Amino acid sequence: MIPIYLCEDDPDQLAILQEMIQKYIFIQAYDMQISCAARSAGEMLSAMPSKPESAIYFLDIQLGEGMDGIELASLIRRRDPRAYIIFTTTHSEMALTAFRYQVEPLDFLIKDEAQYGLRILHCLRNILEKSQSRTGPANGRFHIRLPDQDLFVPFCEILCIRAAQTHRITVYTVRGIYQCGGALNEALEKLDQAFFICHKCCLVNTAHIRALHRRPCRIELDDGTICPCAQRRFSQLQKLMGASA
Amino acid sequence: MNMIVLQSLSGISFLLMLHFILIPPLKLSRRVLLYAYILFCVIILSFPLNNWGTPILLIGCTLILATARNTYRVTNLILFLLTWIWSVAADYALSIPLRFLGIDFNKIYTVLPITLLFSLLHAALCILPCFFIGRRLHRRLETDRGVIPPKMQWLLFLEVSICSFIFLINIIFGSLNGYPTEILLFNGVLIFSFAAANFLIFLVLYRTLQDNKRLELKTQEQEKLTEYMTQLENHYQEIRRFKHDYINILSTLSAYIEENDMPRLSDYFERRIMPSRRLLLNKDETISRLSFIKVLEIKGLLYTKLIQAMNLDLNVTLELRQEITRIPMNLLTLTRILGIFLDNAMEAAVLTKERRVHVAIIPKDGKLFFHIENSSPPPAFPLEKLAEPGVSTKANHSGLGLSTVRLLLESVPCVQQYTVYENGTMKQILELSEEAQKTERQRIFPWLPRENGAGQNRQKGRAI
Repeated sequence: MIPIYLCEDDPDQLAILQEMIQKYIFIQAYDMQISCAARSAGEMLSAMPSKPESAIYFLDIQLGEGMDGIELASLIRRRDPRAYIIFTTTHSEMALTAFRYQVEPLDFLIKDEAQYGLRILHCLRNILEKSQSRTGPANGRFHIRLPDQDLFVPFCEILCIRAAQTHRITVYTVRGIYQCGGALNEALEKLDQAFFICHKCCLVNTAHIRALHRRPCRIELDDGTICPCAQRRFSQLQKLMGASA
Repeated sequence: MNMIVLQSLSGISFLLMLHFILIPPLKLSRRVLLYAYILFCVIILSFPLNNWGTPILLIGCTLILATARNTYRVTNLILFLLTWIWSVAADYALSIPLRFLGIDFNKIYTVLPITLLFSLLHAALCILPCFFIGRRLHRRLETDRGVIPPKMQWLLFLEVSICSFIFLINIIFGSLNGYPTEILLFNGVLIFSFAAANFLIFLVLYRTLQDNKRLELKTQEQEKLTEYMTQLENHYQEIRRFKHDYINILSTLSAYIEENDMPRLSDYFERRIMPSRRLLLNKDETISRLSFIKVLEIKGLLYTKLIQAMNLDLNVTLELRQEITRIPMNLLTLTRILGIFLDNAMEAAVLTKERRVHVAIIPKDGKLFFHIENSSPPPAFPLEKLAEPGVSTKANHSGLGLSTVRLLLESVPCVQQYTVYENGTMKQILELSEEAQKTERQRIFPWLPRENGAGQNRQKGRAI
């Protein structure tokens, strides 16, 4: 049961938010519950338990007098390091990047946008997935630590991983490309058998291979990108693919 | 028989020397031509022509290198001649002591083991320094580009060729007289003193040019700062005008309110105030945030790049909420890296609909993050390839930006780079940690390994 805390000083907005969340929880039958709908930061802080519980927090950035949403978020983060914090705001121009680094919110929602409701649903779903991967065994997801976000990419979404320069790797996923420090063999240890080192600077997810080409040896992936393949590994790869096909 | 061995070994060692020294972007076909020509001259031509083969070798190779079209053409020419002079000097360095030890010079040509020994010693004396110096040289050239202007490069080449010419004449005349000891000694002294003098001159020249470059950069910075101050003063004037207008408007409004003249009050409001809602433009906000950076070099750079971006009609934002007074990294290197990132960001953003460039400087837990984000079309090359020299998504572009960044980052410890492309947004993040400052000292013996080693870099920010 994941508790949800809301903090919003405008009573109408608070009511809208509460209604929408309850509706989604009910329809999707999520294991979540709204613990507190506070109108000010002080109220929220007194309602929070002292031990961390990885709860969900929907915070408005402008909270009237007293503490604002950002300060509140850092306090929450200190008390509950694995909390999921989502900011709601009417200003789309608010500077966002620093908050990603310092408070690591899950997302920013813009209240008067048409997709407000959908974004809330999306966040809740995202949180559910993340919490399942956290409590369950750590397999199935590859952890990429970036300064502004902590990514847990499911193995099936990784297309390939390439080595770039000394001790840097680039992870190509369905959603985007991420480059950070690391080595291919270390990455291979954390991944499952579907992954194969096809070249000294490339690791490929066999689940995403569309075609194998000879002369010169290369691998074509689902989205059309070409990965190099060493001659020696080619036959090994063919056997691997043949076995699974 | 021995001559063939001697000549082939010396040809091969000369080849290897050049291989390590000549600066990389040299087409394979040209390299093969050069090496083949050298081997031809050294092994085949030397028998009929003896020492007259050497000018043919030198002139031929100079022509081959001079007709290569690459950025380091003149430098390669100079390096080639220097390599030849070094090879000759090594030869002398080995023969003179042997002469003094009373060993008959002719034995080298006739007794095979001595031939081999001589050749191997000569090869070691030549190739090993070339290997080590070559590596350092290549790295230095990437990070110190443009220090020596082209005209100066041609002058240096002229000087080195005159030196080579003098040596050549000496050697040829010496050989015509059968290499008497006096000539040998004289040549040796001549070569070494010339080499020492040249080396000193070159060192002093290089330092002077580096200082010049630094001065140039400082002047540019001064100009940027003056521009920045002028802009600030303009802003201040605008604000004064605004205050003045505001006071006028308030007094008019208060007059209407006193007379309780509602229709004229609302009319005045609609007419004068609502339309001219002079909210401070985003532009001013962004520029004024620069006041948080107390480090002048970075302030200047960001100012120039932000103005450039605004002139290109991009949506630029700067995010900076805390004062930045010190940066734990070599500022020149940082300025260059940020400059390259920002240029790339601007060039990508103009190709998109959102045209968004966002720069954020965020201190967190004792580290400093430089975060440059921009809307971007999907990268045409795999990200690693973009960091290779010569690769660029832009036509007629040298494509050296990201590869220079890579080299610069290698020279600075404890700085991590992250690159992310997702949802049409490209992000470049630099993570600077405090320890970088402590290990960034002047290294007296550059060929000794760093105390922390490259291993330091590997501990930060890995994909777990």
